Amino acid sequence: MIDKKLAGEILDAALSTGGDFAEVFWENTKGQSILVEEKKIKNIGGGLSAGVGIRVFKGYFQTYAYTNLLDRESLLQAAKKAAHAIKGKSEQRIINLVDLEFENQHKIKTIPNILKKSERAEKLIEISDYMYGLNPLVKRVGAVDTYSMRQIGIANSEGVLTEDNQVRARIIINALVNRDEKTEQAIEGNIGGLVGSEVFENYDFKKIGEDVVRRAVNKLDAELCPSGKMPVIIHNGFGGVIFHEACGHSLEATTVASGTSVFSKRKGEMIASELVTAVDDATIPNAWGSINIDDEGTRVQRKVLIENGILKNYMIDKFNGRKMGEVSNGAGRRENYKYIPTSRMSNTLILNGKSSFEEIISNTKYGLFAAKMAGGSVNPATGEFNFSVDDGFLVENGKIKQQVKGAKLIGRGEEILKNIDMVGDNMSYSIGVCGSVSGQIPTTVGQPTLRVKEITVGGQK
Amino acid sequence: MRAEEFVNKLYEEAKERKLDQFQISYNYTLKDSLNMDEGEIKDESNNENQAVSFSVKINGKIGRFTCSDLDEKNIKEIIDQAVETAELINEDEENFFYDGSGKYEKVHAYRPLEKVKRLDRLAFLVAVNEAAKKADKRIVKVTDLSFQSEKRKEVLRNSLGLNVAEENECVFVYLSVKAEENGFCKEADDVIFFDKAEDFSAEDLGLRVAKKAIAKLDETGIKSEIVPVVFENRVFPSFLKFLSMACSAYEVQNERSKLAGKLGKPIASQILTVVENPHLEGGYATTSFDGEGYPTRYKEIIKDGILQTYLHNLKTAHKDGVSPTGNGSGSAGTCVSNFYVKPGADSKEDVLQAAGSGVYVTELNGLHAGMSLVSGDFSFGAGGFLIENGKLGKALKQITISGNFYQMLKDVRNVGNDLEFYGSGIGAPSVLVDGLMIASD
Repeated sequence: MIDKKLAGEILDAALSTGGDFAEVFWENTKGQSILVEEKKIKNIGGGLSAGVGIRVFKGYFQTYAYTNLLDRESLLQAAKKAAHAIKGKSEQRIINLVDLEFENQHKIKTIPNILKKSERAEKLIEISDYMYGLNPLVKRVGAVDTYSMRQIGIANSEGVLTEDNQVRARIIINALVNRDEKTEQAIEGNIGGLVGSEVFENYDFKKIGEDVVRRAVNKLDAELCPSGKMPVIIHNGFGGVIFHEACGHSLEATTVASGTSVFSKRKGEMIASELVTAVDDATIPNAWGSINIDDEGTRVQRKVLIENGILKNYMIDKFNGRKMGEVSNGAGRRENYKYIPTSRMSNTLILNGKSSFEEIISNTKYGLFAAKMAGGSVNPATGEFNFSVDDGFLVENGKIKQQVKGAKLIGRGEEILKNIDMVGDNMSYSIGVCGSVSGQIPTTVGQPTLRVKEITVGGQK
Repeated sequence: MRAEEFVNKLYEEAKERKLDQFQISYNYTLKDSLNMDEGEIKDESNNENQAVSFSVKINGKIGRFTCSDLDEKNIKEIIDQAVETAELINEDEENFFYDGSGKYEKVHAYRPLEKVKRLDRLAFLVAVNEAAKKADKRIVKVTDLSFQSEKRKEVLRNSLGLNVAEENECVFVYLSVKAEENGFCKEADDVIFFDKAEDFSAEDLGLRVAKKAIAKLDETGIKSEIVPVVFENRVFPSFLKFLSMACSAYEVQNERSKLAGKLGKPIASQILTVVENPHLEGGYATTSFDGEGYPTRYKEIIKDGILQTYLHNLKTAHKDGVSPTGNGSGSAGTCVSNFYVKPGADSKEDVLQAAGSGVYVTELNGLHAGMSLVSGDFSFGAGGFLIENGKLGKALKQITISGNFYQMLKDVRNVGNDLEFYGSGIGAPSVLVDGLMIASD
């Protein structure tokens, strides 16, 4: 999209007012989504997007200009706009752009757009058909198939010139059930990854369909959840959203560098129970949140965030790393060229502990078993978080009992981390979409089943 | 390629291909922002963007493809993809383009006051920052302070004769501030849009937000129980967003709303009236046409508790055999412009008096994950103050607030006279609701 020569010209223009670092980012994305509802093709969304973002640093100040007018003149104009806010004199420097090659860690089997729209829709209709036949209470079945092919390129004044191709696919299936006057819904969205059309082959869709219908039907008999402070057992997989919100965001240099995060300047301190070891690993092959290079062109890593409760590392991007006196560890991400990249998560996981799932349940006299979480949010400045529980169950005398609904968990991140008193050995991870200052990006969350000895549960009773 | 040129070429190509009904929408945005940290500018941004969307109607179905890479080489693919999509969609409903007939109201949407152009943005931010930090020694950090402006142009034209355009601009300053005492932190924020004279006082903004943050520090717990709740006028709009979805003919026809079959029936308290006024003078979402180019009009959605109308786009209106209501979003669903609760007679203090005891909610969190539209059950994280003896008491530790949205509409007991729009078309006055479940941290 931008050749070496043009990249060099843009960087020169960007540095013409004395900036000490410049970067040009280009992006070209093709995306598609197919919606099947009631076994009919309801909608097909598709688009092409392309744009360029130019950044200049001077000390602790950065400027940014993005545009999708992609002719040479407009791009140089944008570079000058970015340079304009820096009131200095250009220092002569020669930038030697060197192609940074790397081996693709996430090979895909089938490029998505090779599979025709009609064929993709046919597969969704097949799954829907199966699900309608599972239970007469099933009122509506919907399925969405999405994919994106995102090509990015980065050139910077340190001489880096690098490109990558990110292919992602995801399928979401939902069922609405109805009995008398009650309607409930269940969704499964953990289908996909940094993969191509092989997504249709990698899963047992019959089993997924059965699971979705069963969960929706069970919700019809769920009672309202009681309120109060109690032990909460958070199941594996998407349960990891707890850590993502309670801790993850507060460990991004985005808020650590400015001192806003509650975990700023606390490396080496105990911020969680000693049972907790957590990583942010962007290298997991073909996981939804994985990448080869971040959106600043830095090779990604597996970062140990917390080890046995002790804060080890933050997630760091170039700009915020400056303020912290630390080098980027490949966490600079953005939704697209319209955003300034900043430290974000990738695949954020709590690692296995020593307890089994059965032990955790049987060891709990009274509490809530959050079998499926539904998302939440956090304020990194105060550490206050909230999560919704999708499928919950009361646990009484070491046994899983009545299903409950409508529970919301709240608290402060650090409290919840320190109150983890049992960690299971069944780690799994799940697809999520994370929204923050640099837009929405694909991330996964994961953990084994774990128990927090006390969380405030807001219910309807 | 410039968008106008691209759109013309795209239009010509579509005509060449003998496409009978097609539509092109185009938008162009110019944005800039200035972000401050610790009294210094940490980043400055200057951006422009353009995007085009092409739709075509074939056999009663509309297929669409969007493109923001406005290169002539993409024109063939844009049309091919939209045509393929239109031919594959096989739902029963017919979809439509609008021909641009009828009366379009001349409207005056929100505009920042002229003098904002002469404002020294950097000096303004510096003054806000100082006022906030000096306000109290417990103010430990200005966590977010930015000056942003945006200009946007939208054009919608089709082969049936529709040709409408709109230009909007927005200038705002956002401030959030962190206060700390005894190891506990609280944050408060506000945003100003420079459409009122008082918005030009940097000191007022800094001081006001700092005070809000300090007021939250002295927090107390509350027993978990069902209590009357007064929603601050800034916060109730979150529920109105859900209402706009529950009233959407798109959600109703897809059996995702409990308001199906309730036209003309009481769905809310008698004192609740909710209107949509797309022509509101200076309104933040004021517009003369909807996302499908259909002329907008004033309407009552709920009048004295009774559901008056669903929100329709061209497709849903045709399916129900009614006139479109000018709420087309331009894609599958519907949207609203200026959408608000008609204010009552009581002041905010009267509303608190009417509550007697309970909770005054000033923030809601986790909205994206906490509400089920099909059942109406919700559970959100929240922040606010105790109401004791009809007056505001201590700040509350983080709480959860739970209930059922459809039931809550019926339990509205008092509506204040303090209708406000905080930079959004969706606005509300203070609203008192009978009983919601509160659990405290």
